[in-house]
Formats: sequence, C-alpha cells, structure tokens
Amino acid sequence: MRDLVTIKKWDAISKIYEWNTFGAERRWAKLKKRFYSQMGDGKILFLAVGTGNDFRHFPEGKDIIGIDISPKMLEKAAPRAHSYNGTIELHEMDSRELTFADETFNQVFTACTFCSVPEPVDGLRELKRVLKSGGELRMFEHTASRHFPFRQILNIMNPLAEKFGPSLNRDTVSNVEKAGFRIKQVSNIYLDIVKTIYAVKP
Amino acid sequence: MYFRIGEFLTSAVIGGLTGMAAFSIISPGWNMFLAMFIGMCMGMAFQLLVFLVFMPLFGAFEIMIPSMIAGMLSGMINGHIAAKYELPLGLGLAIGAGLGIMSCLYVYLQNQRLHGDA
Repeated sequence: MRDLVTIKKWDAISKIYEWNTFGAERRWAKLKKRFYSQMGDGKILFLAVGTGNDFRHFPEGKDIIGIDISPKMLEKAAPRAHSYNGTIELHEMDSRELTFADETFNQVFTACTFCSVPEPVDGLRELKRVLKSGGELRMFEHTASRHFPFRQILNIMNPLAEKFGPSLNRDTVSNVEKAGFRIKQVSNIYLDIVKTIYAVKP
Repeated sequence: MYFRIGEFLTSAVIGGLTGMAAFSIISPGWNMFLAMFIGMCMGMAFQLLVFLVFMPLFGAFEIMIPSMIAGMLSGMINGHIAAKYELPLGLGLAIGAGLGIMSCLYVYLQNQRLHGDA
C-alpha cells in the first residue's frame, strides 16, 4: 500500500530541498566522492535519490538503479540521471516494498535515507532480500549520538525535525544489525552523528 | 575555512542575541532558577530561528549542534546574571557571543576526538 503521508511530505520538501541542503552538500562533497568511489562492478541499488544531488559524485560507467518514494523528487532527479556518464534508471518505489527479485544487486548505497524511512528495520530487511549473498550495504547516514549533550540536543530537536523532514535520533547501526547484516566498519564523519556504515549480507 | 567561519559566526550570533534578550527581559529580583530556565528557552527559540537562516549556507548538523549549546548556555548564564545585576545590553551581547564561540570550540574539539573509526 502506498504511504501517502510520507509521499506528500517529501513531495513538499522537494520544493526547498536544493536550498536547504546547499551548504551540507558542499561541505560533504569530498567525503561523498570518496564514499561513492567504492561503487564496484555489477548491479547497484541507490536509495533514496532525492533530487539527484549525489549523481555528480558517482564514478563513471556504473549500472545503477535509483529509487525514491517521492514523484516530485524523481522529476527533479531525472535530468541529472540522464546526464550521468553511465546508466541510472529511476523508479518510484518505497524502500519497504521493493519490487525487485531476491538477490538482484551486488551493492546497495544509501545517503541520508534511513533517517526518513518510517519503519527502518523493515526497509533494511528489504535491502537484504534484494542483495546477493556477500553483497555490500554502504551507507552515509546521520544517526543518534551516544554522547552528552549531543544526544539530548538531537532528542530536543527531533519532534520538530520529524514533522518537516528526517528523524534525528535513529540508531541506524543497531537497525542494520537487527535486519540481519554483518557490520564490517563504522566511521564517524561528524561527532558520532554523521557516519558511514559498511555491512555485508552474510 | 568558509565553513569554520560559518560555524563560529552562527554560534556567536545566537549566543549574542540570546544574551541581549535575557538582559532586556529578565531583571534583578527574579528567581534565579526561573531566570535561567526562561533564558534557556529564549536561547532555544533564537537557535531555531537563526539556524534556519544559516543552515542552507553552512550545513546542517555542524551548525545545529554548537548553536543549540550556545543558545542554551548563553540563556542560562545571562539569565542568571540578569537576575542579580542591572547591566547594559551590550554586555549581554558580548558575554553571549563569547559563550557562542566557546560552545563552538568545545564541539570542534569533541569532533576531533570522535572522528574516525567507531
């Protein structure tokens, strides 16, 4: 069943998304380039594409399928996907209900996605289903902090942030483990909030 | 450097505005704890408003975290001072901006400690 509440929320955010993320995208540009340089050969699933801001950081010549729950986001991402030197195929899809067959992909990449998926463990289980055995899950995510006062600040800000965008206090590393992945590496980029997570499907 | 300046500027502005607001609203004779609480709430409110202006320019979490600490700290300390002494608004601005810069420095050092493999 289509999650109309989430679709409506991200359709609305698509209007100001470029402006809101202007600073963060420039700040993280080098790190994202390095993160996506880990894209290998074979089929890659990328979610959620948003307005396609990250496509410019992808290495050339990859075979990528990108999904997003918001049609308005995908509209903005389409021209960027078209100008990518490789293949990016876009689909409107909920990460909790992927229509791909089991064991389709060699790698899955996410960037600031599992702060927004309403039932994150369900979404991660779907990723595990569509990944081949030994396939890689590589995530660039913001999560809750374990440290004072950062944890408390994120908790204070969360109710407002959730109303207009992502959750700020998700324990995404634990969620990845709960979904059945084996964590290989977690690296902090900013405090212990913004991080990269590297996990594999056993 | 652009982003570092943005972080310190945002925290200094939020700390300074909160300090001024605390000095103008809270006066000697207020209950100290109430003054600190009201000051902290003002700091959080200023943080939300100013953060929305600066976020698109300088980033999200790197601006949000130090500026929230700056707002709350400036509100509490300036609220405490204002409940004891009648002082000029400019002093509230200076103390608040100083606390903003200190908050940012604290977060910067914490980030150096936490950065890397977890």
